[in-house]
Amino acid sequence: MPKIRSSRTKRAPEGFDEIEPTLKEFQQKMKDGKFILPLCSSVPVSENDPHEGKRKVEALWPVFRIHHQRSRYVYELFYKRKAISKDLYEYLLKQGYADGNLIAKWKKAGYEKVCCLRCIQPKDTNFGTTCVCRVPRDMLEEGKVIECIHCGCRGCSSGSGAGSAKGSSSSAPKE
Amino acid sequence: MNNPGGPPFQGGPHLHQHAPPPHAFRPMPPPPNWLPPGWTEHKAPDGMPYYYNAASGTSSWVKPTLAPPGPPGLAGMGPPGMGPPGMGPPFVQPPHTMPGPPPPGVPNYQQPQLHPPGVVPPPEPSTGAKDGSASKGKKAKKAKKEKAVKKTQILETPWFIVVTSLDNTFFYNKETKTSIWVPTPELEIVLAKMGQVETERLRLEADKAAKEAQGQEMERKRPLDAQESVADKRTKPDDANTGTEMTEDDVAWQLAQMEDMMGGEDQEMASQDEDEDDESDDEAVQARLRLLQGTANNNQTHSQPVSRPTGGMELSEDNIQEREMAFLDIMRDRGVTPFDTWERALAKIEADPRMYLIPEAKARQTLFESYCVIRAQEIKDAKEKESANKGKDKEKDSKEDRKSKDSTASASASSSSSSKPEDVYRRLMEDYTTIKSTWLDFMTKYRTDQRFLGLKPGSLRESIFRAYLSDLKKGVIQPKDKKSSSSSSSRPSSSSSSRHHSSSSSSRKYKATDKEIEEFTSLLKETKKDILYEHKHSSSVEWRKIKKLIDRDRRYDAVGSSTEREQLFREYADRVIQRKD
Repeated sequence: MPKIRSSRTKRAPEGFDEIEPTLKEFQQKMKDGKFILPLCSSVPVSENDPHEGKRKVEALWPVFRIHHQRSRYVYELFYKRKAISKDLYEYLLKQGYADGNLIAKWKKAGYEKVCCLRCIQPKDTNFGTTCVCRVPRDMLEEGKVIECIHCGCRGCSSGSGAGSAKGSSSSAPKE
Repeated sequence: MNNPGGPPFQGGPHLHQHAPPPHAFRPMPPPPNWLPPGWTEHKAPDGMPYYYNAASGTSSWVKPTLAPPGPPGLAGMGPPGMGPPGMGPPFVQPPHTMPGPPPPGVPNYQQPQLHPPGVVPPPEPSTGAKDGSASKGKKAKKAKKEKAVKKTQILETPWFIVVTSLDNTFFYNKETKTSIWVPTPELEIVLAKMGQVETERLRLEADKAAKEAQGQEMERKRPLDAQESVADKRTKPDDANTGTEMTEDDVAWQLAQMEDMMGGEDQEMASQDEDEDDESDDEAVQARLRLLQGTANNNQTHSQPVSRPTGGMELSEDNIQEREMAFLDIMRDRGVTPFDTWERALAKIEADPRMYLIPEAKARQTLFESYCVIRAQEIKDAKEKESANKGKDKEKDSKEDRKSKDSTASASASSSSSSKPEDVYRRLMEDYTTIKSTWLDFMTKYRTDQRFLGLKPGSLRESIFRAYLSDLKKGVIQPKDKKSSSSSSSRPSSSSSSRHHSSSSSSRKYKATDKEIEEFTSLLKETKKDILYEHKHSSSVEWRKIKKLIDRDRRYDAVGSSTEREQLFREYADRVIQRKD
């Protein structure tokens, strides 16, 4: 979640104007799909989205997805397209427009398409393993569709063949 | 008609205009045993299987029982493009349902009656209904690749000119079910006759259409030209390989195809999903086709097929490249920036029909990625160049500025040569610094500016800036806009030391009235002169100490500005010290 910009915050480096509309769009999306979490309730209440019929875990998936997309966007701007300066990239990280920790993972071999940090944290699971979405497509049962419980990712392993990998990378945690 | 090497007419149970297409329409055809002869199963775009009888040109959703000709009532329900083949007037205007030459994976149901040349000719497809299944299974893989795109009947003969998706042209006799690359002498005569009349008309029409398209959308122009040039290129190998009689036809074909391309893009879009596999296998198919053609060459006994120009392959590759280039152009035209996400870029180019030049969504996205890299680099370069230019311009400006000033101003200004980095830097500061600006602001704003970077070492920049700013605040220097009037007076003082202010210049700038100064000086007089003497080499730190001693006094506030106070204090101190000495 980006910090609120005021006159006291540091001015954005050059080039921020160009990517601002896209970031705004993400922000808006995040708002639309966002859930206000009442302080004393574990059940999220949706602002706009109807949440009836959704599982409890599903409520947070859009947040993860947009977070992933936004980070991916910044990551690609800097590392792939080389369209923004280092200053701007660091500014974006600092301001919370992108998740530096997640991007750090993407730079590692085998983690190029990781959907979220929760899914690669083995300590959080009963069996001490990573999430099911990390399992390569061809190791899964034939034709099985998985949606991981953390973020709704449908598979984000690096080596899952061209087709599935592409699909998962472009919109990784899909609902 | 002469059927070179073709099998005799095959009297099946029903007259087949075509065998069940040897090019299977789906990668894995089910054993068609249970279909009556002449019927083939196909998949509609929505996945529904339907059945097609090539002989009667009918199609049906219902699986035909052994009653051969198929339920005629259902024919209308068949998928599009299922008209009775070959019934049109000679040299029918090509149906506009086909998306032009290279989309390899266009669903074949649109022209199920056509055969790719690579498939049909050499091992004479004894295409009867009996071995339909066998040939289907065998050729499934290769058939997927090259497909007939257009078929035109040659006058009253049973011959058809067939153009495939790879822009090969061959002749097909529907009665004998033979196909040949080179027209037989008899055929040539007919072709020549037909060519004179029909090709002219076709060409005119195609030209007109092309022109219209150009007029309608200027953006389309480039790819169209590309297509045209490709088409021109194609005609040449055709000439060489198939004899002069073919040329007119070929040109007409190419033009007509272009037309198709323009009209058929929607279909292409619809079929893009089906296309996905095809492209990847393209090369294998090409190789296969060539092999086939090679064998055909050696195998003169069957027919006399001349190996089609391998140019066909080159062309298709060219075509892909060209289409990719065209696709990049679209993005450029439509203002896609490297700061867009793919979704946004897609929204921008969606309206452009040229987008469907690249049938695969995935290929489009990869193209977009590479476009972004290229474009980002371009933008970066452009920016660098611009800033360099700006720097140069500024320098030039300042030079001229300086010159004009030199003529009016005193000699002191002329001493500074304008090309020196200090001066360039100074001008930058003068242009953009106000009393309110800070070093941090200034630095972040002009960090990349050539004028800023020109001054070395970097530490000098800050000190000069700070000196300038303090001068500005004290009023030693007028802000830039006022300067034109008093440039001669402020310039020398600004270029002289910033730390020591001559009393004359400073007093002139004081806003405080003389009376106020008087009062303040009287206060200073009361303070002990020893103290002042003690702080002979005073810096602001000492002034701070003295300030504490006297700031309770009413007269201290007589002078409004603290800098002025300090200034006055220093002057006074200087005077006292001088007197003592």
